[in-house]
Amino acid sequence: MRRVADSLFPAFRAVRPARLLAVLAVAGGMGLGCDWLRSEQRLVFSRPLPVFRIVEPSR
Amino acid sequence: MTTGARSSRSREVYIRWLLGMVLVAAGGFKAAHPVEFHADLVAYGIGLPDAWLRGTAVMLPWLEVVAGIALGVDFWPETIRFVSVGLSAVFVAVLAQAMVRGLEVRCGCFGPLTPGWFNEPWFALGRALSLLAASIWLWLKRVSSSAGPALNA
Repeated sequence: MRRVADSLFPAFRAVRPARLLAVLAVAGGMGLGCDWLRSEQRLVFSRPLPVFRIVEPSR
Repeated sequence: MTTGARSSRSREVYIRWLLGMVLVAAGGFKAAHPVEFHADLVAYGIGLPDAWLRGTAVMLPWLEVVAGIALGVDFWPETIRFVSVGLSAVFVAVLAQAMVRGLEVRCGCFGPLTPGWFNEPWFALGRALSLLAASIWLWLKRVSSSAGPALNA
């Protein structure tokens, strides 16, 4: 257990923030790209709601 | 390389591939059904705004896929193994909080097409804990491997 605890700090220090950001950016880009390309059931780039127009009553 | 070190190395490779395949499968199934995954996230009652949940439902499956592939080919190991630990820890935390609060949720970890027993919270939590343990082992293994032979025995 102590050995695990001793390994945690070096393991955290070994993580490279630039690589972490790159991985997150790639995953985010792929997710957003797929959502954008999806024709229906979009979650982020949802299509605008239909606009209701008031039609004047015909005389 | 001694027999013990070779055996430890092959065990690491097997666990890496297994974890990678699980992440790719889980992420792939969720990425194919993002709307259902979003509904599962809403059911967990995490308390995040809906816009965040939508972003998570779109991006998290792809993070799993990217991490799974990178884990399989051992690309940027010190970072990817940390991502794997983070993902597994989030799964455990979200499932555990839902169970503690008594929420009736389906796991949704592998998309909507999995059988009912596979989505049972207890089974899902056990699976997530196993993933977390394997991820932590791989992550710390990487550090001890790069530290030299004294810690690698």
